[in-house]
Amino acid sequence: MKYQQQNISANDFEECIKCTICTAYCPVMAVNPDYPGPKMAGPDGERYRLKSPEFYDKALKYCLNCKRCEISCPSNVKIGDIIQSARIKYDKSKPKLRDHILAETDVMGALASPFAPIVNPILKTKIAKLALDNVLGVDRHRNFPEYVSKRFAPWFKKQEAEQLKYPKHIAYFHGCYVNNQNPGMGKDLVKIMNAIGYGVLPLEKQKCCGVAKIANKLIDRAQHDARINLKSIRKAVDEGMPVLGTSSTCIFTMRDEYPHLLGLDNADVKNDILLATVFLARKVNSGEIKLVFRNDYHKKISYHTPCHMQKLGWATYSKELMKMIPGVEFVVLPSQCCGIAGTYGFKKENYKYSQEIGSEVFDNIRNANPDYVATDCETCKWQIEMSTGYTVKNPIEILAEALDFEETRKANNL
Amino acid sequence: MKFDYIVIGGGLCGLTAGIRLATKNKKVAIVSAGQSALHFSSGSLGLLGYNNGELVLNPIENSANLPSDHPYTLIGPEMKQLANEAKALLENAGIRLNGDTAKNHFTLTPFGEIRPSWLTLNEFPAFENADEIPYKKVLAIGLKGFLESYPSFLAENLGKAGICVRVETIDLERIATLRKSKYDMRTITVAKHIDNATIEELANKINSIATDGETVLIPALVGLKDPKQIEKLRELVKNDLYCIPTLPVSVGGVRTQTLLEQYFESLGGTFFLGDRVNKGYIEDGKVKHVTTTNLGDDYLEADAYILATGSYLCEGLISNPNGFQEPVFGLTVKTPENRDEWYSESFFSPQPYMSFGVEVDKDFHPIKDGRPVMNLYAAGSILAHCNSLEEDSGAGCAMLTALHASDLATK
Repeated sequence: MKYQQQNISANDFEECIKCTICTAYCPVMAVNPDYPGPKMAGPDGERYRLKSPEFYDKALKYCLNCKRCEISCPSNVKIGDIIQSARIKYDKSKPKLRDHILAETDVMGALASPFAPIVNPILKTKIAKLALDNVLGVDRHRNFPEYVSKRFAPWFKKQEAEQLKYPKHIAYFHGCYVNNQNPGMGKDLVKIMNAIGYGVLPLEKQKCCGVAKIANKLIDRAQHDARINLKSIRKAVDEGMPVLGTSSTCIFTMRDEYPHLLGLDNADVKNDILLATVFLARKVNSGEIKLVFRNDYHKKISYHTPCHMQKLGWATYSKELMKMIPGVEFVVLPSQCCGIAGTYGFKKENYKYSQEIGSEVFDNIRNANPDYVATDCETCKWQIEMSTGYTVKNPIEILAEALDFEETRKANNL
Repeated sequence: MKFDYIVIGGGLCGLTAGIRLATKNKKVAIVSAGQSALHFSSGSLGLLGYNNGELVLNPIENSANLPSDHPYTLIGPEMKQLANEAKALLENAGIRLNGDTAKNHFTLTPFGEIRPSWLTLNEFPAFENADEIPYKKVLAIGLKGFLESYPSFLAENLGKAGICVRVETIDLERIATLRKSKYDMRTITVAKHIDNATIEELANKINSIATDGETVLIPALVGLKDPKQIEKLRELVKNDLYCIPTLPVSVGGVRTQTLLEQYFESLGGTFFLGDRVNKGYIEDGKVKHVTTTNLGDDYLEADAYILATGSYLCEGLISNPNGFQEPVFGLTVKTPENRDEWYSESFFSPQPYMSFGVEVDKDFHPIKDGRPVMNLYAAGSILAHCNSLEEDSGAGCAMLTALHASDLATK
């Protein structure tokens, strides 16, 4: 019998058997009746759009690209990619000034950091918030993450000579957040890696991963940056270094969104782009390294799984590391979207939905009442801190607090 | 990554196996490529509802009449005990059920037909005799704008059974916003809006229209995450109240899946959701490791593996016009050479392809190239010689073979 052997549709949309399981796991559909849901926005809509672009539904902009539809799909359909590709291809509306400002995270960081002592207090004022809200459409409830005056990258560059002395190396993709808002976490990673015998080196060049630019349809800009990142990643991998990050979304974007949404093949280096917690947990599991923890670290920690971490399938590594800390009482929160989805929740038109989506996460955190919430994504952190008042830390920051660095160095024969 | 046991598949079968193994203090991982067929559950779990087209009243007794290669026959005399343990496992996970292994009871389909059941989720009707629905008067309630339940069909069929039925449609302010949507108003979308306030509103509206002695039937939209919602509604409504299944994805199915996942994780199990086992590597008749999409070059290794990937829906079995494959290990799937024998021309006749699956030895080791794979166990709907649609045995086969295979794996 002659038949077509392979599915040949983009993002496997033909594989959809219309089971509708994805609709049960879409966080947007549950709160926003204007959103058609993943099945209709994705594989169903795609059939119509292939007939005529007229069938493009503007409501696809409500998709927050959490990929929870893909995670639940038993037929391996890339539902989220179908939706995001359709937005890129068919939505001809121009990004607003607000979208540019939110998406250009690295440019904004570079502009703001020299003036951090002035910019931070201004952004906190009611007047500035109202102005941002009324003029630009950035919701007034949001707190802008504070910029630092001393960014991470210049400090990191200065460490190079010292870092080269280590026998083994990893390359660090610090991303915009560590660079502009939380250099301390980058320094934590350097400290941890050094204690197990790895020097930490910068990539030759690094740009923003591009997740916010993709979400705001600044595709040319995202591709430009992605090419620079991939070139540097290839160079590092050629030199025998894995490329580690501390933000699940940056890593997810470079591994999955570059090939799926930006059309940039990364198959040769994909397996070398990892989260630092994944690298560490694997090395501990294989017995290559040892971590020794302080005895006086006693905290109750609740772990929140970011959507892109759930999609990467790696939460277990971050969880394992924190469970190794003897004095930690560890509670895993049910894996749900917190509602922020990067720049999505900053937009005035999305704010209400963003908070409704996250409400169960916030309730679960309040019920658990931990000392810290741990999560691998900085925008989840902003959302949870703003909405619950609990302090949120990256697993790397928690490890740095809990490690006995001297004993760890000894245990690794340093 | 190293575990004691790896279960491939995270539906009713995989979760049952994972929970059984985790209860024995083993380090267990479940890898689940997307969500499972449990999402299509009507709320009734069948052990053996029909045999050769005949209604079964006592499933354990009747299973003696099944063919020698049927999974229940392979389990043997332990079947009854395993069935009781399966019920206990569900209850330990917080799933509230009616029914007993000793004999089947009966429940209602969305159209008001009577069907047999082994265990039925607490919100649905459960009665003893196939020829006697124990309600004299029924109030069948629909929800304004909701198209996934059919109270008029329900009324017609119950009417034929001699029951006096009234149909009413009620409106809930709390879901008025959903009707503004130009898209489908689906079961799960409505169910997500049911909270304490909606339950009070719903109860008040039911109480305002229900008359004395009427049994109230509502679409199954209550208790998506928490079965206590159903109890709360029952407390507030003065009449007896039961739910009637809706179109899937079903509230009872999602709740059962969620509770089982939570129970498994509370026992220390690791649940890899949305990851796919791409390939199993077999050396010297044993599985060495398996690889998954997300874990890349970090192989999953274990002492033993349970294959619970399901049937066609979840791609545990793959079919094309030329044949059938088991995609992870390339296990043997026996089918008649003559393609015409794969199916019946009449759509409603038993379909032979529904009984195709992997072949196992007496210890549930699946066969590859004529030899059993010694540290691999197959369970659930991937097994050959069980037509769960015809037998209404899908849930029972999933759970009992999962328990049995897990016990064999830990011997």
